[in-house]
Amino acid sequence: MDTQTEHAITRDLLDPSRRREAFSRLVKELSKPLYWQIRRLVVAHDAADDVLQNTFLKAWQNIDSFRGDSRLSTWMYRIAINESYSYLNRERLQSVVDFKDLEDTLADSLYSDPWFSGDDAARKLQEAILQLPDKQRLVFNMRYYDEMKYEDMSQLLGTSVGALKASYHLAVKKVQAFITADLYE
Amino acid sequence: MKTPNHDMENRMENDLLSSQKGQNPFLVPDDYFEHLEERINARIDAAASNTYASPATETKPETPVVPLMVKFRPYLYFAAMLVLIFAGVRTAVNLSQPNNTDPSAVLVSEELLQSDLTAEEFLMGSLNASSVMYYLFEDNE
Repeated sequence: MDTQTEHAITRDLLDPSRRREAFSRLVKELSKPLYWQIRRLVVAHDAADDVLQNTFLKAWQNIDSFRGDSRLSTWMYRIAINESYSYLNRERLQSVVDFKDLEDTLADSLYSDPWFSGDDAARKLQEAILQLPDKQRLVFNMRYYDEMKYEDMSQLLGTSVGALKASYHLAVKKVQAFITADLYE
Repeated sequence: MKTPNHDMENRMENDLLSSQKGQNPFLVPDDYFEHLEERINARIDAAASNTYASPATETKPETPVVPLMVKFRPYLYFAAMLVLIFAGVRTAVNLSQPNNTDPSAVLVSEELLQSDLTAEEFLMGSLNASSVMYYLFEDNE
C-alpha cells in the first residue's frame, strides 16, 4: 500500500460517515500481505483465514482507538501478529492437554495439507523454521520471504535494528543446523 | 579452523536456503481473496447486530453460582492470618521483656491467698504504731 493511499484511507477511517467504505478499501489493500504474514506463522490455511478475519474484525471494533500516531499498516500488522500469537498460544495449550508438541503437529500437518505444494526441501525448510521461537520465526519470515528492511521491521516490532539483525542471524544458524542434522542422520 | 568438510556443509546449507528463497510453498483456495471482503463484512455486521441487539432479544447471562464457603474463604483466611499475627506479636513481646515483677508482691499475694484475711485486714494487721513513727521520722534523722 503506497503512502498516498494509506493517508487517504486513514483520513476517511477517522470520519464516521466514510468509515465503512474506507474500511473496505483497507481490506482490499492489506488482506494479501497480512494473510501471508499470518499463514507463515500458523501454517494451515483455515487457521490463517480465521486469524485474518479476527484481525479485521478487531481493527473495525477498535478503530476509535487508532489515533494515527503510527502508520495504519503498522497498526494492522501488529493486530495480525498479536492475533496469530494468541491463536498459537491457544493451540499450544491444547497440545499440552493432548500430550503433543505443537511444532511437531504443525510440521506433520504439512504432509497432509492440500494447500501445501512444496517439495521435500521446502517441507524440510518449513520444519526447520517451525523449531524457532515465535518472535524469531516472525523475524526470519519477514526477512527471508518478504525481504523487509530492518528499519521497517524495527518500527513494526518495536525492537532495535541491531537486535533484529542478531535475531535473524541466529535464526539462520538454527535453520541451517536443523537441516544439516537431518542430512547426516 | 574450517575444514573442507565444514565448507562443503555450509555450501550445501546455503544452497538449500538460497534455492528456496522467493518460493512460496503455500497455496490458497481459488478466489479466496475475491470473497474475503464479503466474509469480513458479514462478520462485522453480525458482530454489530449482536452488540446492538434489542433488549427483548437479548438473553440475560446466567449469574454464576458461587458456593458460600468459596465466597467467604478470603475473609476466613484474612481473619486466621490476623489471629496468627496477634498471637505471634504477643509471644514475641512476652519473650523479649525481662521478668521485672516485684517478688515481694508475689509473696504478699501468695500469703493473702493462703490466709482468710482481706487485703485491707492484711495491711492493717502488718502495721503497728512503731513502724508508722519510724516511717514518718526516718528522713529527718
